[in-house]
Amino acid sequence: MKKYFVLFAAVVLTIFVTSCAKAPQAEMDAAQAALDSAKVAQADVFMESEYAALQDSINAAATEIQAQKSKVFGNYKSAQKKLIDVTASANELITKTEARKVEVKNEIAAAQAEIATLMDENAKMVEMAPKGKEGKEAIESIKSDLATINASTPEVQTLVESNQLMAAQTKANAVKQKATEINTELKTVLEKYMKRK
Amino acid sequence: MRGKRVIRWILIQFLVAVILFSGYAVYKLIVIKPPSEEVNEAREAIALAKEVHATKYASAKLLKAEQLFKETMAEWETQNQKFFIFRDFSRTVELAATSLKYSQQAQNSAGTAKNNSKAKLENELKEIADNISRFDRLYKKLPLGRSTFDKYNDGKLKYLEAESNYKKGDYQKGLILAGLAKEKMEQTEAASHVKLNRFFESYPEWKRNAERAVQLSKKGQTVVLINKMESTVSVLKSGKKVKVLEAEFGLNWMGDKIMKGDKTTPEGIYKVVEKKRGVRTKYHKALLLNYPNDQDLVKFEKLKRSGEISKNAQIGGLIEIHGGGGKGVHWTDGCIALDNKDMDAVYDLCSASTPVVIVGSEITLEEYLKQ
Repeated sequence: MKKYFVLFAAVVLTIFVTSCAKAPQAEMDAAQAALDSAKVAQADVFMESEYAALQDSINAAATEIQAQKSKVFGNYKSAQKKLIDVTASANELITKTEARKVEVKNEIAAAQAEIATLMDENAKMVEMAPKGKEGKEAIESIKSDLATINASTPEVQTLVESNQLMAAQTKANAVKQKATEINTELKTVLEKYMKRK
Repeated sequence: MRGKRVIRWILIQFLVAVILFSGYAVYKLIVIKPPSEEVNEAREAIALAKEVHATKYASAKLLKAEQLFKETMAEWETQNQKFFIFRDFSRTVELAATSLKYSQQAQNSAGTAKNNSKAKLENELKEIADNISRFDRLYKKLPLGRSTFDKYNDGKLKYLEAESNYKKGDYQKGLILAGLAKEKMEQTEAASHVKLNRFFESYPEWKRNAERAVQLSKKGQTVVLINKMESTVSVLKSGKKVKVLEAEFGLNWMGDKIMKGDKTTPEGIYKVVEKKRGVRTKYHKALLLNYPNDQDLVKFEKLKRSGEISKNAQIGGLIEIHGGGGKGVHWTDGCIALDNKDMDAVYDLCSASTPVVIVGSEITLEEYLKQ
């Protein structure tokens, strides 16, 4: 009789202990830390929708945890799994973000190289451009164009160095477009000039 | 015996209390549901708001919704920490509902704000593009000075950046840049207009001089009429332009020549005083004009006396119509340059004493701006 009583008590105790499962706080902290790291890596800028989806997933897991806490016998397995997935996805997102940043940096570097080539060509064309009687180039507006580009080119690099890649890319593209326009304009001026020379 | 009865009564009372408590607990468990549905609805609304870019276009409302969602979760946690029969989720539900309301507002506002920003940016870009095109057409060929062109170029670069942001769908950044571009372009255009307006103040005199040129040619003289705004040299015979040739002037041709070194081409009625060719000119052929004439000398002395120009300033001279031109830009120190072939034609048509009338424009400023 005593044996049965002990066995019964053990079963009840086991059920009690297992039913009082703890919320997956460690997994929650890990997921939050991974998401914070993704933000530091600028995933919210370069992978905006993916980052927002992970934020929602972590909120969904937190909601699930509270829902289980509201029950007498909470089961946190689903929330735990979600959080582990969020952590893994956030780490993947960091890798993707870094890859995208490298891509953007390469695009900026390519634009900068194109600008440099165009500006070299422009400088050579300015030397051949019509000159005034004192020997100075008689193309005031184009010289101003070139000065604007020369002043803006370092701004692109400053933006890259301060990790403002999107702004740097926008500026680099605008400067490239302007340098291309001047290149075309100079070619037209020179073509006209050479034809009449 | 009495003691046993009391114990029994207490036990019964206890049992009744336990039964009642258990009943209440069961009632609580069945009736009071955790606010999962409401909280999930609030959470999903936040995610939807972010999908429609509320972070950018309705940030205040979205932040409020997110803050309320955090409070909802904290309140839910507080209630969960209580023994289950003491839990009350009404505040949690209320907070979730308020968060949902803000998220929905953020969704609606973001949609509207995004569309408005897009439309506004489109208008601004169109307006700036018109400004740029008008500037290119009316002012870019004028010697407006380096600072004006620098401002124009800065504005144009900002315009290109704004356009790039428009293509990326970042209308807010685009609007900021468009605002800067617009400001610069408007300032440039206003400053250019002031300069052009000042230049055209001499229009009545130009008109008189141009009419005089026509009259002289009607009387049988060959007259050279030079139009700065059109960059042309015309040869007039019997009141008609028999030749209209492309010309180039001083680097700073807009305005009347005042003194030596201002790189301005003079305005007024002059005459050819000498024909040069061969070793006497390095610009193919040349027609030397009688600059400075009496009017130029009077004006120069007046400006010197008034202190508007330095006491040491010299009036200059050696203003010619010469060859070596056809460069496509204004490049001389004040002379009028023609392509060598055109110079040959003008040289042959002119003699010493041929009148040369130089005007800023033959049309009014209003007519020029309408072109």
